[in-house]
Amino acid sequence: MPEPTVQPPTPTPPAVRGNALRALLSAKQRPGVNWGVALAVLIMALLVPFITGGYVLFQLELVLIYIGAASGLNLAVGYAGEFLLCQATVIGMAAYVSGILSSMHNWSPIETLPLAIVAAIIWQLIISISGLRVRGLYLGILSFFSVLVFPDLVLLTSNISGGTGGLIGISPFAQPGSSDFTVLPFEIAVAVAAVSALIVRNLVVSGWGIRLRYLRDAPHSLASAGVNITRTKLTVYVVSAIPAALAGWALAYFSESLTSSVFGLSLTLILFAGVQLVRPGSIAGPIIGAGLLEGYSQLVGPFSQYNTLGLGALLTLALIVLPGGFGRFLSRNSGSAAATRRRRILSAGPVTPELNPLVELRRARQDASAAGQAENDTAVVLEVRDIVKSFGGNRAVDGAGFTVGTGRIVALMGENGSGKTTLVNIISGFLRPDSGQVLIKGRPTTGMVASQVARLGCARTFQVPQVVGELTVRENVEVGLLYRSCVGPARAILLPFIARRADRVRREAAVRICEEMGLSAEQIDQETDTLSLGMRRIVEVARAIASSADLICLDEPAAGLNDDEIDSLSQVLKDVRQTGEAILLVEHNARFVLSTCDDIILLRAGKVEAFFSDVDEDNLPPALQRHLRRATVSV
Amino acid sequence: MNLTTLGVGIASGIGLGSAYALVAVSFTLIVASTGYFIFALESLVSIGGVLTYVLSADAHLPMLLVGVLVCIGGLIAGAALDVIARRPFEGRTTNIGLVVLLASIGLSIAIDATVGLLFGSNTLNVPGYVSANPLIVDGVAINPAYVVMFGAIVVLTIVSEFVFRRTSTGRNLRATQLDSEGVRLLGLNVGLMTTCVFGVSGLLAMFAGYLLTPITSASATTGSGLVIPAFAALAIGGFGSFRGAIGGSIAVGLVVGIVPLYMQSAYVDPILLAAIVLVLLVRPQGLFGTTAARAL
Repeated sequence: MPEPTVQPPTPTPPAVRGNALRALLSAKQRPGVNWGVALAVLIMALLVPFITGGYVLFQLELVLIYIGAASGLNLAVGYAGEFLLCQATVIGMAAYVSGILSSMHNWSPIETLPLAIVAAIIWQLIISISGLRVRGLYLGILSFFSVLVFPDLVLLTSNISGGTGGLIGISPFAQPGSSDFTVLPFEIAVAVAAVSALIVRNLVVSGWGIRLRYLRDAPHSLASAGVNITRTKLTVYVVSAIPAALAGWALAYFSESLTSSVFGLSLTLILFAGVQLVRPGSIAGPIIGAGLLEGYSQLVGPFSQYNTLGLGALLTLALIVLPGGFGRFLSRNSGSAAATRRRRILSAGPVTPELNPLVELRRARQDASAAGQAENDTAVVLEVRDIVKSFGGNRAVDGAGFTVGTGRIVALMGENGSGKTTLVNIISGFLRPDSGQVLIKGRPTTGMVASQVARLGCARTFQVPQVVGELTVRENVEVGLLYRSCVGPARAILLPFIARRADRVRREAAVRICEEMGLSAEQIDQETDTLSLGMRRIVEVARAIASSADLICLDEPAAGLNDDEIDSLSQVLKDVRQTGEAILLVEHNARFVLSTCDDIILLRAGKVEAFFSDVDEDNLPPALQRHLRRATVSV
Repeated sequence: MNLTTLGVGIASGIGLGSAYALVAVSFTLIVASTGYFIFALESLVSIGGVLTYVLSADAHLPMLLVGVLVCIGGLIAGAALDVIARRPFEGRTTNIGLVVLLASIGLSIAIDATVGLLFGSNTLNVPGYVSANPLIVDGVAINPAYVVMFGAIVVLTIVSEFVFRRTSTGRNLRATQLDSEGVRLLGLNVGLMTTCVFGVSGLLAMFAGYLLTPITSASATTGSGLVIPAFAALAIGGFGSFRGAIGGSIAVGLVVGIVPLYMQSAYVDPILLAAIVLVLLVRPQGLFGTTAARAL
């Protein structure tokens, strides 16, 4: 497996310079950061204060720290899809904490920095905590209100914050007259921007990059791969507050005085539109975008009405004109024209029918599992006991109960509305039953959320495959391995080399799983955007296998597939079964069910009507024949 | 703190609540029938106020005629919002709700800044549509404008509940929010229907601006000042529910009316924000609502 990512700092030949920028702006999991260019830019930036000075230098400092803050916002908005519009007030909180400690208690910048970061994180969490419960839309509005409320908070704490009169008397980084007076603040501003970009870069090139994009585009899949959604969101909130904290801290010392109006609408717009404008979900996008907008803002004057007018209009126009660039992070379907053209070029193509049995699979999964759980082959993987679930007055499931044994492929059949999908949702922890119990490997899942059920050993796929289009097949499969192999955010950011080792192990395990499923090397590196429906289903199955589930629930896996694709899928499932996983699938397609499944459970009005074990295609039990005749599906 | 003072607080709270309810209902109308949150409606409230000023103080038209003209203007402005902030995104992104929200926030900020540039940031005094002399009820002075707004909100409640629950138009609108594709397949013109809903919402928002002029006068910031209370009302009452929007508005109005009697008025907005955070965290579907704004 070649390491495609970090290139050595070789000088870039002119011919590929365009490509270098494109690489920087790409939304790929591992953007090709050209360290040579990055270093050159950094050195040039550090030399600026020796060339210019005065107010221009101050303006450039502001541009730099807001670029840093925008990188942090990009982590939340561009990568994780969490709509936090409160970044300006997070900067403000850090600025006021630093400023107050400096002006009233004479704390030095080094001393105020940790407190500024802590305060920023706490404020961010207060505002965004309800994001754990509400949809993105409402989190967006809610966090936007913190911008409107911030001046009130400053007013209420007038005795320490200076209120409307402003906070004055913050001592600068270096004393006037000293040789560092102009140079030091600027170098700090450069450091803030560079450190912020590096924090985000280190996090997103680790497994977290995949994890955050899944949170954005396919949160249900992330949960069903055993990843804790709450913890993932909290990490996003905390980490994205850190660049804002650095910016606020530096701002307090740059301006030596603070008023609440600095952290208002225009700053919110600069940061948010800055992230949107160029390419959300790329390292360089917010750097260019926020740089341009803050530049505009400094040009017209940050407090002029023309500033908010221009920025507001620009945000709306950018959205109308560039929903492709913008939509890219919101949805994988809108994408650019090129992406649309690429899509479906690669047709499913039958997965090699003479697939070798997946003998190596177990080993691959065990390699990936750091814990190396002990084998306990209970005969019964899943036991469903008397499940009842009503939606309003409609009893969708009414006392259903059955068991699924290891190494069995079991189909749930029944007419529309007989409770099949509801049962799968209950088993995988996405719905809570009104009464009854689900036991996975003998352990009850009562009260568990989906990610906990997944970690007990139950993975699932979805009727409409929930994969992330901009990630490759291999990266999508890696999601199944994430919950055991994702290093903590602090280690990913501070010790990228350690994180990279864990990443490599996971990548290799994912590649092996893909290979076992009969995917060719080029398919493995294909973005899932370009795949057909059938291939995406197979990617979902591979992801479920990667999570070393003992039970895989498939919701209508054959729907929308052509005959070739159905045959490939059937073959894949039979191969999977050989390593001991049980498969429970909801399906209407009788041909697929009869050729694939061992047992068939017939549901009727939320109850199990009949259980047929070891179904023989040529010798169907009469009750099953009757159901198949009733159903309009061809046999 | 005597009882009369509290009475004044409660009376102005209910009055303010009625004003919030007008704004909250105009948001709700769009949420309930399309699922979008159109932030820019707050700008229409400001425009409604400023238009009232232009037509009455400048052009000296009778107040009743001004009200009618403002309503017509609102109908057009609302439809324009649909054309600018929603239609361009149709079919171009799957997460259209967020794009529409962002576009309308950008638009709203640009409109507010434009109004500010044209009319200055000072408040403009508008001749009242009712007498400025307060009604005295049991020793409590009540601004007659509050009575008008309360009356308007009662009428609005009855009409909106009736339209949404009892008429085929209302049923079509509710179905559109759940499955616009399905409604389209039934042969209904969803685009036109949505534009009409935006128009009516715009009408309500600008009419709210008109009704508010005796209390807030007219300025570029009238609307943005109402967004927090109106959104708090929606969060507390439950998004997309008319009863929730109105109940929530009255609750928020009481907070806004009573809190300043006991502490600095700057506490009001932080208290409301805290209330929104808490309610969404504990009961995302709102206190009165059943439609959840759930996470996943």
